[in-house]
Amino acid sequence: MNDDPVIEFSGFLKACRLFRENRLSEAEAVCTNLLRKNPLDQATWALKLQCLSDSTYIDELENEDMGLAETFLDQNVIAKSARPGTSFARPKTTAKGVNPILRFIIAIIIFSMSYGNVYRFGTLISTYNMFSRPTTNAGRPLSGVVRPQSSFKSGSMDQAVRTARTAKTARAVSSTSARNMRLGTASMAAGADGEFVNLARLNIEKYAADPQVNRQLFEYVFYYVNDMRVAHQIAGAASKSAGFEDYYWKNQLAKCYLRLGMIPDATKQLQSSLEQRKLIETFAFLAKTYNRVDQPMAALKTYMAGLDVFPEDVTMLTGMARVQEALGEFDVSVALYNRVLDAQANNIEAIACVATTYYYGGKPEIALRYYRRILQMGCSSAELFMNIGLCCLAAQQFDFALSSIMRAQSTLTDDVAADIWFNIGQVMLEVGDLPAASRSYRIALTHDPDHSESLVNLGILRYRDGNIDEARSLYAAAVAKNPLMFEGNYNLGLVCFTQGKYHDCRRLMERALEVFPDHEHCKKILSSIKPLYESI
Amino acid sequence: MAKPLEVTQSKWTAPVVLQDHEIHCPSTCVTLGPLLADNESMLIIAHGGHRGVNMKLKVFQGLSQHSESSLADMPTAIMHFVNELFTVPSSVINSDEQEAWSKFAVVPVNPDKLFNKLKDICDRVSFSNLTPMSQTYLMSEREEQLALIDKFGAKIANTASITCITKMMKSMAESLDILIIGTEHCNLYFLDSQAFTLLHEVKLSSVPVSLCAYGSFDVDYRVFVQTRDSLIFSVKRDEENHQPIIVSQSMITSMVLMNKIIVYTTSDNLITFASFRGKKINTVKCKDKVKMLEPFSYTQKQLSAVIAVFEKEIRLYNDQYMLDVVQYEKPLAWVKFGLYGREDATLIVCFKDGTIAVQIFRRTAQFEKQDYNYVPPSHALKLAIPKKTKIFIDQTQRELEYGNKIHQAYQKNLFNLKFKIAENYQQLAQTATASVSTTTVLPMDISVDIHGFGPNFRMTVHLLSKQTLYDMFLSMINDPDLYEIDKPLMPVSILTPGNTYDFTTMIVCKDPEKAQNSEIRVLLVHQKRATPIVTAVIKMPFSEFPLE
Repeated sequence: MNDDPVIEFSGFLKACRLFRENRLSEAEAVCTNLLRKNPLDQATWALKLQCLSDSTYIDELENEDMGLAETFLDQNVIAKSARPGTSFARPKTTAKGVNPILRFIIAIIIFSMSYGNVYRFGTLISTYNMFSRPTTNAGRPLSGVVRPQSSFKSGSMDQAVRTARTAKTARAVSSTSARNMRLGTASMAAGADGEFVNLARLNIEKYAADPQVNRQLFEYVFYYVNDMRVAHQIAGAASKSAGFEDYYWKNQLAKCYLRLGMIPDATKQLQSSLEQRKLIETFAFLAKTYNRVDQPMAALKTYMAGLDVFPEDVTMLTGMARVQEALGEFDVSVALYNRVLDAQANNIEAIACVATTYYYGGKPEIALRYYRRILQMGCSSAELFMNIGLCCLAAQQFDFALSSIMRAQSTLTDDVAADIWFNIGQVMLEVGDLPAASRSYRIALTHDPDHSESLVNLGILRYRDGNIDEARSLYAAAVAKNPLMFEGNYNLGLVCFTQGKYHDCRRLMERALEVFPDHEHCKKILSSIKPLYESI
Repeated sequence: MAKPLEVTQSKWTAPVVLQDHEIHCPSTCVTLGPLLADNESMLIIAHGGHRGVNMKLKVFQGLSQHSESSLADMPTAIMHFVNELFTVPSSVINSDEQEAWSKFAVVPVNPDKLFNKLKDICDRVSFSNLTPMSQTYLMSEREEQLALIDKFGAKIANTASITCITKMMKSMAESLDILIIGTEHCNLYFLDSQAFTLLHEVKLSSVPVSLCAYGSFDVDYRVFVQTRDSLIFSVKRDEENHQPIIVSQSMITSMVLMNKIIVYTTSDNLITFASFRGKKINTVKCKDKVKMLEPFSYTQKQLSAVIAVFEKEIRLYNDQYMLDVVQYEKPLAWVKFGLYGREDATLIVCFKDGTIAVQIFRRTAQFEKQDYNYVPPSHALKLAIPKKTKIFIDQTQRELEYGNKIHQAYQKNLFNLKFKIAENYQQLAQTATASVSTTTVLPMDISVDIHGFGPNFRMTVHLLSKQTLYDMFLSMINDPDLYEIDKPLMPVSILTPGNTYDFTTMIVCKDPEKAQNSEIRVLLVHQKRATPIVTAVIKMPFSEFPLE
């Protein structure tokens, strides 16, 4: 049929084509062969560097992984007790979004039921409590998607160190520690002949000044080797040789500074880069540096400035929406996500966040439409099916509800298994089958022994059966795993109160009030304990 | 313009604006009363002007200006009485101060020396004991100082500033007014308005800022004095020792009399009704700041109340109820109620922008009595129920049509789901991998905490049993390449019910640089049982590098 001779590429051209087609490992193999013949071939060398760095490329904008040390031993914090709404540490929890009073309307009837849990993209929404969002383990208002939010502080260093660590909740001590090393070194072991470029012996000044190869070399060091000091050195030298007028190198320097935790330096570089050339990436990074030092207002301003230059840009809008959400301004956030959807109708994060807001805003039938839209776009995951099931259930679409949930159960992966089973437990609770609910919670606990919501709810069911000691130990376990959990603290406090352990009760109630300062029942219990103390 | 929002229901006529007049003055500089022989009541306003310029006394009749005359000095308050100057008696001036003025204020003028000298005196005898002239001098700029010397230098006197004024009848028979004046020197002077002779003098312990008089001078009277430090004194005839009857915790902003009740407002948005003895009768908690109070009375219907002025509305209160609310479109400055022209219940309203309007109380008005702090009954409160969406209604339609099928599908799925749960649970029970014990015979609770960042971890196992158990072992199973456990097998000799037992062991991660983690299983086993009593599976956190 086709008489044209098949053109076979070979040599460097072949490597280039393979690289273009994103067949990185094949391209790399060709490059390795070529380099074996001619080790001084700069073009091949640069291409191989590019192949290697692309294989481990991560979006630095989304890389928010921060260790304990950066979070708690942070010197960049400007105001320790900021006004509400101007700091991530003080979102307007009581003003909008999470309303603790409504949150526990159902709680009071059955002795404070815990409502979990929406985690992860797509994410599980809790079956209970249509009126307000639950919080995450770190005590943040829940979002529609899971993102690395570790830059948010919760509690103190002391508390963080004392809390028992598990694979799921533990955070690395610092971002330069073992966990982060993985990003870079995991793939290195594969190359049998060791490191491709010996950085210790490389003449950095020479290569960094060469505009033909310096970008590839930098990206290789930054993404693949993960050696920030050398990467910084290269970026610095390259910036110098470009006469400090290349915005690209200023951005790269800023990335290095961000990784090294030198936030003010990063800000300076980015601002000077913006003076030369206004780029979406630069605006986004600048806003990120402001977020790192807990200056959400400055970050919002930066995004606004970005929007002036790039109207309706998705990165800017998404960034703003995230900041607003973290501040507890859900209305503003959802309005922004809607703008994102106007510009880019298939933005999954935006769809998921809007859907979550509709769900907790008491309109599960509309949330369902949004989740179905995600499904139509070809995403399918256990979380998504779970959410569809929960929306169906809340919207009284009983014929689809349970089948979706079963689909979620049969496709679940290890990391969401506990959440899925917890939500199945919630569904069984709604159906009224308490033994099945209690079994589901137990299954959730085998998948993740630290699933505090399951512990609390199982405790409540035990308490109903009259097994007060068992309930007590379950609550205590939940509090030990997640000291910021309101339900655990409150329920354990209530048990202590009925058992006459007023001292423990007071301590727990006070901790519960830290999470939800307006909880009427906590206050009542505390005020009923007070005269007992005074009478001593 | 400044119309009340609900004209139809209002108990007042719509306000009529006096054209082309702008008034800026405090509420104390307004009074109503007849000036001429025809006994027609007029509105008299001491217009404050701007920084001593354009100070005018304006008289209005009907809807237009009647007359206008210039004032020599800044007005403090105005009072209408039947006759026409009086100077407050001087106090003794500090001799040094007198000397300073006589020495330095004569030509050649030496303002700096005078300033320094006065400053010296001020340090010795305190600022408040100086004459008002010296006080002004000390706080003025150079140019103003020269002007002061030029104008007043020769005739220094310690005349106290008048802070407030009120009047009362001499007796029921004689329609003569007695003026009562409060000064900065904490004095109250009772003056005869005909001859301006001093009839009586009272010394208080703090500076009066507002006065209310009740009764007549010859028979019996009470003067209520609100002072700057939020005290209210009651000054009675033939009484020497004056003690405050009301001590307010927060600043008193305004005080009026309503029949035999003292009404005052405080800066914490409360209106308080108190008896003449100072006993609280009632309080109103307001949402906003009360700007001022004005007494209201309508003798034909024996109505008396107070008008509380808020930012854009006025409310009428008596000691029991809220009677009326009138709203305006512009922010208010002050109101004055009384006889104007021949209408005996007229309300003069002045807005912040200087416009002034007249309203008349309707003779047919009926007050309905409302509670002060009206809250709608709880069943009338609307719950924030989300609106029904179109999709929701479509779904309801579907439910109606396919009710049977939906029910069948639901029942089938529910059965399947319960089966799935039971199946999974059964698997757990067989393998005993649950951290919560699954045997009903030996109920047992296990939980494990990992502490530390690595490579050294500490593992604590908590055991809680329901019955007494003997001779068991805690066994740890792990990947020997990754972790080394200090005590892989721990004897558990006894567990008694209700007590938590803790067992601790150290775990060392052998090679943190591999950046791997794995599970550790903790089993509670008994020699005579084939399966473990309870199992806990812990996924270890990633280990940090050792500290060198």
